[in-house]
Order: sequence, then structure tokens, then C-alpha cells
Amino acid sequence: MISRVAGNCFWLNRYVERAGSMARLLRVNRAFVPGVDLPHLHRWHPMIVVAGEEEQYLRRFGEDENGETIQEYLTWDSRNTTSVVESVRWARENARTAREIVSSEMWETLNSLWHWLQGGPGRRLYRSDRDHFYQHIRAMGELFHGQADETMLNGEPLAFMRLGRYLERAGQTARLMDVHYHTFPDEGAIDDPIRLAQWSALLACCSATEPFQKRSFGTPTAREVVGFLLFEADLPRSVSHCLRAARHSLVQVRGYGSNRIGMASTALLEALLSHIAMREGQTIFGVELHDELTYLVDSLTDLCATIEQEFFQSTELQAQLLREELSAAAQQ
Amino acid sequence: MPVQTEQAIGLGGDPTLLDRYVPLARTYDELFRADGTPRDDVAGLVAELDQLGRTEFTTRQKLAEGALFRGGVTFSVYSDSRGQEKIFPFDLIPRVIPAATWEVIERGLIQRVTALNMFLTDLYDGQRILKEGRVPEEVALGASGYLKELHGIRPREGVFVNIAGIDLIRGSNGEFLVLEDNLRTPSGVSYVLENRGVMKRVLPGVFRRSRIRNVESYPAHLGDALMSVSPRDPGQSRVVLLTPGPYNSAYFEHSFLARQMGCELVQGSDLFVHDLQVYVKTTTGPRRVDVIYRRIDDDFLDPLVFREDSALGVPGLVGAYAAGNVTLANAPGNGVADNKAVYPFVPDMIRFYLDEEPILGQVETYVCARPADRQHVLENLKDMVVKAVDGCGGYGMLFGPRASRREIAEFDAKIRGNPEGYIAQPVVELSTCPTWVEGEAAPRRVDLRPFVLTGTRSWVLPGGLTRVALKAGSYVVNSSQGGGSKDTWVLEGSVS
Repeated sequence: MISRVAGNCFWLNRYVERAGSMARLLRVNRAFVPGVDLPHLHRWHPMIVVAGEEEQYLRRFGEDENGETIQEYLTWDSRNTTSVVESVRWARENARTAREIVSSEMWETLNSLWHWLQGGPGRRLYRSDRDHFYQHIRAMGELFHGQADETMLNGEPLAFMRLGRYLERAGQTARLMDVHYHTFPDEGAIDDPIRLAQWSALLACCSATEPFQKRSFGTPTAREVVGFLLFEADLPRSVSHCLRAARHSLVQVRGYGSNRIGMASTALLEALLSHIAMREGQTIFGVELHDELTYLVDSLTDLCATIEQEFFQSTELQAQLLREELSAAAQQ
Repeated sequence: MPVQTEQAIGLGGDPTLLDRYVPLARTYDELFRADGTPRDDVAGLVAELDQLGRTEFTTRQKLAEGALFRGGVTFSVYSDSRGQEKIFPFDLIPRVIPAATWEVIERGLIQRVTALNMFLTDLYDGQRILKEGRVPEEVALGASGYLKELHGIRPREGVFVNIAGIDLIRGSNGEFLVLEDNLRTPSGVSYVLENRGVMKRVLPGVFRRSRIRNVESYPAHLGDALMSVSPRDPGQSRVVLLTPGPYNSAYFEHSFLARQMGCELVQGSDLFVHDLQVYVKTTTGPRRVDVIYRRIDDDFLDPLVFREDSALGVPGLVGAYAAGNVTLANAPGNGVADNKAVYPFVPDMIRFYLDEEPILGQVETYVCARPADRQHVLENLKDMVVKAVDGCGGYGMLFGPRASRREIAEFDAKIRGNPEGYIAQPVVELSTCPTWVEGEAAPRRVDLRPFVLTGTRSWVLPGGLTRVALKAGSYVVNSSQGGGSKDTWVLEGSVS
């Protein structure tokens, strides 16, 4: 398929995934914060940090750590490229640009989500029943991904969509987990009840509460939760599962043609998979966990940049491939 | 057949739709005679619409708008993603054309497009028509769309105009006249197809009981026409649609047609030229391109030949075209044939190349470059429509009867200063069609853009885009200036 359009498919799904993740995170934190006794700074500030928006936020709002300001910023602010509204906007722009590839069902879901956010209904629900508001965004994201799987041909465009979806999700799960570190930056008893309460909340963020209970009886321990979110191969939002699903899509994409395109991306992804396999079974906490999660997020950023270079912005590589092809044909 | 009394009340005692409709005086109405009774061919349809009643009709009109909005069938004039998107206003009352009338239009359009293709072939080659004095040399070679760089290049099968949109209007006597030819990148066909889809969904009963020719085969015909002019074996050929990108106002249409034809939609940066061949960058490496249905203007096609600053085009594209390695549809250089200064000579082209009389008339036109014409125009400006020869979209024109004294003086000076730049036409009382405005069916002026596809032969889409001026008394149907659209129903031939 057209390189640029493959990029649209990849980014379309990344943005939808990103919007859904942000909605999940904000919703769960709203449920978590009132029930626990936390220093004011540690209630909403971590959301800003894991969104990568600390610097921008401080510049605009200074010390204002009011939950309302932060939610407004992460949900609606058009100057914040990671806000829910911006993610939906860019998802829709990518879908509109690749409209001939995206199924009508997916397009209508995304278009109605966009108009819902832009018009009165979304704003009204945000004011009257915010829980329901975030729930709606998350559900539309799930509907969208389901429609991708159910209404697209199982071909290259879908493979790029899934590649984007899973790489973004792996990174988002890592970011979500890092909320814990930013909420409890000091060393302390890891199975302290407040800390466990947050781990439960983070499980809920990843739709992992019920799956976790099916695998682990009794009171959860932090060790079990961390292991579950990082390594559980059967959990749709675990880092390990997402990376494997991404590998599946990358293999599928490369199966369509030239061996040359995708070599570097594959090497990076395989390295990351080996790294995860090596870490599996180890107990990781505190700063070490924070470092591990940072490593994962950074590696995923590198991988996505390489995919961009190899598959979507490939002008030089294309010219080189053509020259080789033509000279091979001339020699025959 | 007059409307019967029992039909004057719709379902549930709701007032009917059209019983109070009054056509404009001295104006042809598409559905009603001057005395307010429906025309014979549409009496059944009028009765059907009446039976729906106003409330039901309004509900369905809203359904239609909702469907178009949700589907993203929106129109935005170079807005960014933050801009308001609006649907191209759609009116549910269809415009109907009887089979016998359509048969004449169809023949007339094919005749006209055939002659225009022959004119372009001749103009970019031997220029016989100039040598024999049937079209003045200074008019043709001085027209803004004439590209001397392309002289001597003959497109595949001699077809310059693969896709034509010929605008027709209907004067007060009901005769169809050609208002202008669009031979470069005519747009609007996606609305024809989308409007039809919505119409079938929201008025299924009315639609089913009328016998209407289908428009859904347009993309397949377009695909066939493009493939038939490929430089390579059609089995191996790759057709792409080249768009200026998602911020173009017609992007929806580009995307729609690519999807319907099953071809790829590309931007200039997706293509490159190597050794006079065009390639598209794909995820599996470069692939050769044979036919480009391009929806970007000539000026922007190739920065090596035309505008250097064009980021929309493909460097080397015109070279590949000149070498015969890629088909551009429409061919570059067509602008000369739909230039308003050349338009007055089209009937003569038909006589010259085909030795036939034109089947479709056109609007009487005064060429301001001619002293006698100019004199007449300047003396009668308040009764004239004056158009800049390279203007389009209803911009840069004077509509005499509605112009202020200052505007008239302004055009007087413009014409005296640059007579070659203007033509003028008498005001044509465009026909009207009942249109739903503010809860009432009111007469609004319409035009019609049928589409003609030409590959190895020509085909006319039965129907076309009916544009309607939504403002009372307005003659301007352009979508950029508050126009809307209607579904156009070409009726099947009668069975008897």
C-alpha cells in the first residue's frame, strides 16, 4: 500500500488508543483519589507527569494542582497534544485523509465521537456525569478497535492499524504503571494498604481487575500486580502481550514484499521482546521499576520513529530500491 | 392531471407539501406549469410527495441531513481541522427529467465533448481551425488555459477530456442551454452519488414507485474509461487518483471516488519520476503508475514545467506524460477549451469538425474584444451578466439587474481597460424547482451539471448535479456562495 497511507493507518490507531488510555486513567484516578489520604500534590500531579506534560503544564498553570484544572487540561486543552480532544482530532484527521481505506463503520464511530466532543453533548456530560463521560470515550475506542477487526479486510492496512494500536498500548500501560512511582516517590512498605489500593486502581485502568482475580486469589500483592501488568501473556493490555501482538502485525506487514523495508524495526522490536523475556519472573519495585518503565517507553518511542522512517517516510530508500531493481533487470 | 381534492390533505390531516406552491412568473418551472398544475411526467411524484405531509417530510429532511453529516459528506472551503464543517445543503424534492428530454441532452453532450476533444487535438497540433479562420488565433492562443509547452503532445487515443462537467441551464421557454464547459477538473459527482443514496434511504417508497435511471455505475464507468487509455496492458496497469490533499475543499470527493473505484488515492509527495516513468512509494517498494486521474490544476502538476513553488505536484511528471509513459486525465492544457473567451466558438467547432448542427444551444455571448459587441455591452450593462474570461465559481462577475450604479461603473471601466478579459451574456431566467425553505415549498433557481466520461467511447451519467440557489430570487447556485443540491431523476423511457 501507499507508504503515506500506511502511516495514516498506524497513527489513526495510535491516537484512538491514546485517547482511550487518557480517559481510562482520568476516570480511575477520580475514583481513587477521594478514598485515600494523600498529600495534595500527589493526587493529580502524577497524571501530568506520565502524560509527559509536566513542563508545559507548569509554564501555563504554575503551582495550580487543582484536580479540575488538570482534568480540563488533559481532556479539553487544544494546546496539549496529548489531551483527549487532540488525540481524537488527529485520529479523525488521519482517518479522513485515509478515508478510502478506513471502513465506513470505523469512520462513522470516530466522526460521531468527534462531533460529540465538539458539540454540546460531550461538554454537558463532562459537567453532569464525568465518570460516564470518560466511560463513553473509552467505550467508543473499544468499539472502534472492534470494528477495525470486524469490518476491515485482513490485509496490510489492518496490520498497520494493529501495529500502531499495540505499540501505543504497550507504552500507555508502562506510563500508567509509572503513576505509582510518582504518587509514592518515597521508599516505603510496598504492600501498604494505600499503595495496594492504587495498584488495584491501576489494574482497573487496564480493564485487568477481573482477569487478575481469575489468576490470583486472596489479597493482591504489589509484586503480583506488577508482574501481571508487565508479563501476563494472556492479558490484552499487558506490555508483553502488546509487544507480541505488534510482532505478529510487523511480520504480517513485511510478508507483503521487500525484505529490505522493516529490517531495522524488526531488530528493535525483537530486542525489546528479549529484554521483556529476560525480566520476566524478576521482582521489580520502586526506582528500579520506574527505570524499567522509562526504558520501555523510550525504546517504544525509538521503535516507532524507526517504523516511521522505514515504512512511511521512505523517499531515499525507495529511490535506492528502484535503482537496484532496474540495474538487476538490465543485467539479465 | 390536476391535483385531486382528496390529496390536498396528507396523512394525519397534515397540510400537504405542494398545494400552495406558486411558480414564478415568466420562468420555467421543472415540476409545475404556469397555472400551478404539475407537469404530466411528474404528476405521480407530486402526488406522492403531497401524501407525505409536511411534518413527515420535515422529519425525513432532517434524517437526510443527519446521514450526510455523520457520513462526513461535508464541504469546507479550505478550512483547517478546527473550522466548521457543513454539509453541502441537500433538498429532498428531486428535480425530474423525462426520458425523451434526456435523450436529446445526452446526444447533445456527446456531440459537444467530441468536438471539444477534436478542437484540443487540432490546437495542440496542426491548428487547422485557426488557419481556416473559424476561431481567431489571438483568442485561442491568448487564452489563459493554452499551454504552449505542450504543443505537439497527443494524449492516448486523442482524448484530452476524459471527464467533462457541462453546465446546463434552462431558459424561460424550457430549452436546455449550455452555460459553460468544465474540462479541467470538474467536481460534484460524489454529491450526486451520496444524495442518491440518502434519497433512497429516507424516501424509499417514493423512489421505488418512480422509475428512475441509476447513477451508481458511475465509478465503474470512470474506472473503465481511465483504464481504456492506459499506455500499458490494462491487466497490468495501475490507476491512481492524485489529490492536492485533505485540506482541499473537494477532498471528500477525491477520497470517495478512489474508494468507489478501488484505486489508490495519492498526493504529489507519494509519486516520483525516474527515467521518464512515474512510480508510487509503497510499503513494499516503488511501483509503476500508468494512469493518473489528477484533481490538481495544470499550474501545480509539475514544478519543473509550471509553477516552481508547487509542493502539490510531481517533478518530472509532464516529461513522463510527454514521453507517453503515463496518461494524465484530464490532459493538461484543456483550460483553453473551457475558457469563456473560446466558449462562443464551440458551435462553430461542432460544425467545423463534425459537419453537424449543434444539438444543444448555448447562451448568446458578446465578446468584449470585438468593438461592435463591446459597444452593445457597455450600452446595456444593467441587463447583462459580465464574466471575466478566466474567472470561475461565480466570482469576478457582474450581475447587471442587481448591481449598484457603482458596480456598473466599475465594470464599465474594467471592460474599457481590458476588453479581452471579459465576455457578456443577456440574463437568462434560470428555471426553478420547488425547494423546501423554512417549512414551505418555494421556487428556487437551478442548473444542472451532467458528467460525460470518455475513453475509447463516451458515456453520459443519467442525471448529474442539480445545484439550487437557496436564497429567494438568487441566480447564483455555486456551493461556495450559498447554493445547495438536489437529486436529479432521469426517468426510464415509457413502457408503452
